[in-house]
Amino acid sequence: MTYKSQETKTGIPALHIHSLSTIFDGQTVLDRVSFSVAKGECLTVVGPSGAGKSILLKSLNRLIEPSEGKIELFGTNITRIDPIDLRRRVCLVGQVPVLFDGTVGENLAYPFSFKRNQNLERPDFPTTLDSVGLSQSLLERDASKLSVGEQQRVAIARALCLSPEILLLDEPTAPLDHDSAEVVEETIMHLNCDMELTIVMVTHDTDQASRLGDETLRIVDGRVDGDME
Amino acid sequence: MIGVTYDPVDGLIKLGLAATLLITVITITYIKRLRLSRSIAIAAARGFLQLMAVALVITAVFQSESLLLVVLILSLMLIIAAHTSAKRAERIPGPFAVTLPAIAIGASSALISMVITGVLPPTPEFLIAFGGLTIGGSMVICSLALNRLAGAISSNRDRIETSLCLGASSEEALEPYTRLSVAASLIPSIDTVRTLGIIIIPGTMTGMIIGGTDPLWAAEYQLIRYFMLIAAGIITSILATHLAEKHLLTDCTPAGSGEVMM
Repeated sequence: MTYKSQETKTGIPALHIHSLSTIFDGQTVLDRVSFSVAKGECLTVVGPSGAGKSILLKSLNRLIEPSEGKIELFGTNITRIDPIDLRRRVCLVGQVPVLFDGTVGENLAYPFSFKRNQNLERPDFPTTLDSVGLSQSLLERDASKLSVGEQQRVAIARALCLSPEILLLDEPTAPLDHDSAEVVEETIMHLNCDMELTIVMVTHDTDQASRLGDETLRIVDGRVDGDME
Repeated sequence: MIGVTYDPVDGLIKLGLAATLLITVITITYIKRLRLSRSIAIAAARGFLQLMAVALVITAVFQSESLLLVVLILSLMLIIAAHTSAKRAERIPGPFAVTLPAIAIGASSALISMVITGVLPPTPEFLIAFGGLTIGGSMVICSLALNRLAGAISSNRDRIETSLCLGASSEEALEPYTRLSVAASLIPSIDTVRTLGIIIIPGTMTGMIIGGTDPLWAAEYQLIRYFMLIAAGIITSILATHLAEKHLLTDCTPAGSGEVMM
């Protein structure tokens, strides 16, 4: 079953997933999943634990190779895109914020230490921090000394430094308390609504999915369950 | 002693007397119900048969002075070493394809360079003794490096995935862990060299001294042996971790192969 959300003016969705299946050790973890994400849309993906949500997300930037099916990024099959370039264009931020030893500034500069990113233009770090609601005074702070909520926003800011076309978020508020989760939610809303960044976000919180998502995809036992809301 | 013909009867009597020590220990473990007596006895019997068989084969090779036989024996040692190390690195897919070239290149480059420079004479005695020691040492270092790498990848999965998501190649994402694994695998060998002669008189030197060799000459060969071991070990370790990272993580795996990382 294919669900179509709003598309771009050219009619090509930012992401088009067609009949995606993934099998691990003989067990089907994703079963013919199909959907589209329009440019500038925030799609939330919900479902119980072990439903295959995170695997779906990792399939979108080829951290996991699907067994069957096709994923298109603005009309191009992602298998035809160099995986390193793809991961820069479709950037994933994990559930637990992973920051490396050093300051916040060094963490923001971290992606540019990789060979393939060395020729990319570095954004203005204070502006990037501002876009996730963090003060530039944090640039010199030891990243390990930040709260988990701040770390999560630094992790998002670090992904934004690569100017991704699509941001993938895997339960970004799961490890956070209520207040921190609210701030991260506001950040996501700002990135989507004000900066028009296309976002695909996995969450187990259906209320959060409704608040943030233009549309919500429900996955149960590796399958799309019901219609898109 | 060197130059003295081996007397098998005298040898067996001495071995029998030494074995009484082992029998005493086996008896103690049996009385104490440590359930070790059987495994000690089997290990001792296996060791006796293996060493005697090897001694007979080596005697035959020495007498034939055939370099082809030397190469065959070293190749056999290499295959067994690679297989043993591969069994220790089961968390790495296709481990034999990693351990065989790593140990082969590491050990052979050390041995060949020593022969070419004239440090070691190209005689069966030296080639088999030093080749075997180098292959054995490389095997241990290879196992340590691969075990450490697999463990580091397992426990740093989030960090590696994050690096990949931020545009790292697989080599770049794994580089901190391969570097640490190479260093960790060499620590025991470096520590051994550092304490040479202080804590223990090492095997090669002990053997040569017992055989009647001048202790200075024995020390010289012991040092050559350790220099070879460290050189071979570094090459083996670097190659093994480099080859293993290709098996553990690729920038992109073929469709249907499932998860990119272990």
